[in-house]
Amino acid sequence: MEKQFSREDASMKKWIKELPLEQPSPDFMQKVMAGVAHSAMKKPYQPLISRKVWVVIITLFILALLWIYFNPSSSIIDSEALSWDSQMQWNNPFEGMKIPKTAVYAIGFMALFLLQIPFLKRILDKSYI
Amino acid sequence: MTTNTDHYLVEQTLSGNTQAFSELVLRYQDYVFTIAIRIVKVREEAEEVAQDSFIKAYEALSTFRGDAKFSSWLYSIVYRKALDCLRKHKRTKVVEVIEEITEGEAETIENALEFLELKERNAIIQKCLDQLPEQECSIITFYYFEELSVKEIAEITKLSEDNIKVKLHRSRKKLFELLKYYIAPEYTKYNGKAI
Repeated sequence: MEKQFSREDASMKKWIKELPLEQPSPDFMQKVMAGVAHSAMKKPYQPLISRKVWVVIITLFILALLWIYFNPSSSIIDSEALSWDSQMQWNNPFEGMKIPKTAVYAIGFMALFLLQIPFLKRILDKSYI
Repeated sequence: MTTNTDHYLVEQTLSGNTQAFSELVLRYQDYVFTIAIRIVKVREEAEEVAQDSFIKAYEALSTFRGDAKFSSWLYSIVYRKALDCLRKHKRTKVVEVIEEITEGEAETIENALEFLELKERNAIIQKCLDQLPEQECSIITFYYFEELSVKEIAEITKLSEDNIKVKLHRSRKKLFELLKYYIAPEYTKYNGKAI
């Protein structure tokens, strides 16, 4: 068994080593180097908000929270300025509207249908591999 | 004439000399293309895979660790790109060979192949390789053609070394079985002898 295995192994190596190398089209190198040049010109990805700016924003936010926590009485927001809110009358424009139960079910089923699309797509993609 | 080593060319490329990278492309383009075509089987797609692999290698060159072989690192990119290409085109091959080849049959195949002319033998081997599933074909190519070790193949394919050994054994059996039908189609398991 061992002898057969090593003989098969040796034959296989000989036959496969004999195979010639496949050659790409003559302009292969040019295409690759054009791609490389294009890649070299591309600027590396830079996020819109840099890491430094994020650190500053988060620090300011934490400092503001701490400041509000330790100085609740001396708030920078004038409480009187917000009082207009309570004086305003808010009316719900959909107050009198009644939706039939059938429409509610229809909207519900539609939402469920839309929800399952990504799951179904993932299952289908997997089944092809 | 002195030949620059891969590592030297990588360093040169990293320092901004793209000409050094073109030397690497020239050195490996046939190997990369051969691996790509063995996996994807279609010439045009293999060329695209090979091109994308070189460009990806250029972009990721700074992540290449100097202690590893550049060729192995490059082949791992080609292998992944080729599998991505197959997934994109939703094409995979499954060949199941259940029959175990006997020692006598293996000897018959070996003798028959040795009698053939090199060109003819290559054509038959190539046809059989084309029929192997992509992953097995790539493992066979890495092991016998590129002469990579099981450990190196495991690193490229992200499979365990034991898994590679099992796959190598199975692929060899499948290849012998496929060769049997190409070389001696009249020799079947039903009559048990040459007609």
